[in-house]
Amino acid sequence: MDLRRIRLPLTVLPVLLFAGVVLSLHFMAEGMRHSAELGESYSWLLGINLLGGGLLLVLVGVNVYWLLRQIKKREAGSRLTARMAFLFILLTLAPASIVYYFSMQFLHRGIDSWFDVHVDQAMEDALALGQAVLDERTRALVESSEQIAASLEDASPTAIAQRLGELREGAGASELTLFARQGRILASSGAAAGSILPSLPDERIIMTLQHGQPYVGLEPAGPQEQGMLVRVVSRLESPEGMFLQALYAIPPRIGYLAESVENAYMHYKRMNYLRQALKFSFSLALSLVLLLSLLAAVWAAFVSIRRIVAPVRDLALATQSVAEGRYEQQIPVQSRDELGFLVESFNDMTRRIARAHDETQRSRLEVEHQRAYLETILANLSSGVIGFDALMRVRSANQAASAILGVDVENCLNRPITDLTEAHPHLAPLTELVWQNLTDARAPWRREVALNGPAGRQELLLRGTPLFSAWGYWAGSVLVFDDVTQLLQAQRATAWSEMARRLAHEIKNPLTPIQLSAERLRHKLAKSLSEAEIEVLEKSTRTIIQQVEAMKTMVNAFNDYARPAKIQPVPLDLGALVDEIVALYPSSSGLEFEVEREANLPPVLADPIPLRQVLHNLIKNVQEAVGTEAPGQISIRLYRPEGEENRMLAFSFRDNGPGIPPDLRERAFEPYVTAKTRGTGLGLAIVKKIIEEHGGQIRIDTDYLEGAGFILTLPAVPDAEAETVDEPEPDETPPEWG
Amino acid sequence: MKPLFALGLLCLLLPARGEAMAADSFTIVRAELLKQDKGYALRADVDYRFTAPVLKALRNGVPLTLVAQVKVMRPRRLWPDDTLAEERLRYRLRYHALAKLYQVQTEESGIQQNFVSLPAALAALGRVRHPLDLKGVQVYLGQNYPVRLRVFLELEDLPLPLRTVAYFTPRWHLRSAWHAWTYAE
Repeated sequence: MDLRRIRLPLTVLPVLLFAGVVLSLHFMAEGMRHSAELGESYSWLLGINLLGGGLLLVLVGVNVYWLLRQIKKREAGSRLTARMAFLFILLTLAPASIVYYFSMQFLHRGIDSWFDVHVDQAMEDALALGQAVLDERTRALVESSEQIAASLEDASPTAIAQRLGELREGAGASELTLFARQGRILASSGAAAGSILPSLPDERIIMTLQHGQPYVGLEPAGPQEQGMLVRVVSRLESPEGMFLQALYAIPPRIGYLAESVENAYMHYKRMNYLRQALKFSFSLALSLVLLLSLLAAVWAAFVSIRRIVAPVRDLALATQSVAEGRYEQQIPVQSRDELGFLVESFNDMTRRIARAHDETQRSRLEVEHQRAYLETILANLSSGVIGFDALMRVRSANQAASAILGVDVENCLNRPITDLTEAHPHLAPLTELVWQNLTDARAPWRREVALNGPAGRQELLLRGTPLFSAWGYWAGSVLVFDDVTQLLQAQRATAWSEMARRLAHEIKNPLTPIQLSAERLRHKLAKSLSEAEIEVLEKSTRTIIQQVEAMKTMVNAFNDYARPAKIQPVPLDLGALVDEIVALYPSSSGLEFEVEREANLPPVLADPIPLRQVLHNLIKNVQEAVGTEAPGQISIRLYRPEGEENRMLAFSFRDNGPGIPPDLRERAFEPYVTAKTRGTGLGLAIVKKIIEEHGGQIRIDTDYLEGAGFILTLPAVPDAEAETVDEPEPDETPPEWG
Repeated sequence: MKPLFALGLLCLLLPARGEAMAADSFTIVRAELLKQDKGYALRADVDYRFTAPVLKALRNGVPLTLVAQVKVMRPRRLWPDDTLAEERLRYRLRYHALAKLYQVQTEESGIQQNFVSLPAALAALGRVRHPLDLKGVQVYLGQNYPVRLRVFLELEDLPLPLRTVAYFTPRWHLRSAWHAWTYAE
């Protein structure tokens, strides 16, 4: 039931109703006192009161029903309403009941006190006295009436009619009537001129007269006249059966007194009789007043409690909403009292909470943005970054960290970094170093570490910075590391290039004058020397010239190594190039080739001339390493490297020589690093230089242990550009240098 | 809701019980409408039988008012009869303690009769001979007019305290059933 919709009539209607009921109660009470004026509408008033009471009862019932339903549904404020209503009703009921009880007591005793046994007896006595007085008087009147009747017994009706007036005056009667059995009037004489028709006694009186006794009765004079009458009816001893009625007026004084006594007696008797009814009526009125007042009070209690509790209920509901996270709760302020103040404070509080919540949201978003921004920066950093928490577990790692280490560091989140070693043992030097520094260092540190991973040797530069919380506690650490392998190699290569360039410049220039001087010496001295001396001279100068030539060759080689690259890459079928080079080394050269290639290999983007040199250098390397005792076996394989199938082409080169000693492996591609007795030591350095100038890589094949092995990778031509492939130009002779 | 229902039921039952009492109390033995020189007269014989509490009240000086209600109707088709005229004849019955008499007074005329016994007074009351002044009633020849008569004890004229009791006591609800007959000229 929607009580809110019918609130207005619910408040106005009962007030009017109550006013009406109170008014009718008042009239009812007035009616009890002045029964004549309001007596006629008494039943209406009673009805109105009962109806009003019924309506109030319905109102209260509806309210109670509503409250019970609210309690059953456990709605906010219902228990408070119930408690207040109970208290209210109790407070109303208790004094009202006491007042009711004592009022009833007073009422009953008060009414009873009006009536007294003595008064009862006095009233009875008064009446008896009156009757005795009247009896005395009537006895005389009966006698005189009997005498008249006796005197008329023998007379004829006509004679009687003539004598009647005289007899009446003689007896002092006000009326004398002679009538027959059926009420037929034979003669009549009255004192008052106005009375035309004498009033006759009723039939029952005439019946009693049959027994001979005269009838005597006292009666009121009539509605128009005052006083009382004595009626005496006697039977005449005559065959016709005539009756004589004599009416005597009681003297006014006695009549008045008798009437007064009679009225008082009747009034008292009536009142005495009505005592119980009066008690009942008063009790009913009192009960009605109490009931209506109580019902009205209870109903008013419900209405006012609902009004009082409404803000509390709103507050409870709003608090519930706030607890559920809906902060924008505003309650209408309906009063200016403490509750209104409370509601205002609540509104203020929710406003503040909502504002604070918004600000928190905003700063959270800001932090989120910042974090995302930092993550983006970290993700795009070329340096690897790993964060550690206070328990030295990995807290975060960027993509570069995973890329540099070649493992997914994210898998190691919330675990110590040493766990990485289980799956990747080659990272042990790194993890141990990091762990040690994490546990020891409380200041920034910087270390270098070399890893021998599956992709070759890696040089890493590590920088660690401890992190401190806002309160100064150690809160973890951040590790930043870079792969400086390329950088170090480039530095070395640059240094070597510079040295080679200077060497060439500084050495090559004096070589020609030395050669020329030696030739001139031989030429000039040959004529003046003896045979034996000439032979010595010839031998010495030849040695000088040969060595100078050798030096020139060497310097040229250096020069080539130091010379800036002039590469013109074109799409090239590497397989065809390999075949072509292999064909240049017949079996008489002491070498055996085994070439293997995957099907549908893409062409590479390379300059064929330096690439030929690469192959010649590698083959020459094998020739020099193997020597002449055993045939050199070379295995070449072309394939797509794993993970970079579309981008690169790999070239595996393995021999059966003594291999590269482990201590030389790190620097095998640097100039003058060689295990061989022959050669310049520049062969692999040049190979590396050329390959790197092509954007490729060369590394030692560490998986191969039966000789030296290299893996070269070169950038492949994307499929769309692979249409025009340059056939390599035929190469007649192996190059001299290398 | 239950107390309300009970209250409603009580309200329905009270008049019903009153009607039930009516059959035992007053009976209209015979009634007729007579045309006279001047207007009409009602002639009816009623058997009044009072219940004990009513008699007790009468003997204790409470005057009683008896009403004879007569209605002259005009029949209508498919519709309740129309009331052409209605008259209430009121009689007052009281006991005179000093004279030990029962007085019957016709309220309209003021005529008062005294009776030494109650049966005599009731017999006199039961003989209703009363002229009726049916004002403005056009009575057509050959037309039938339903006439209805009933007599009842008027509770509204009782003294106030007694009235409250009488409302709630079925033995105070004295009335006759409607006595109906047809009058035609």
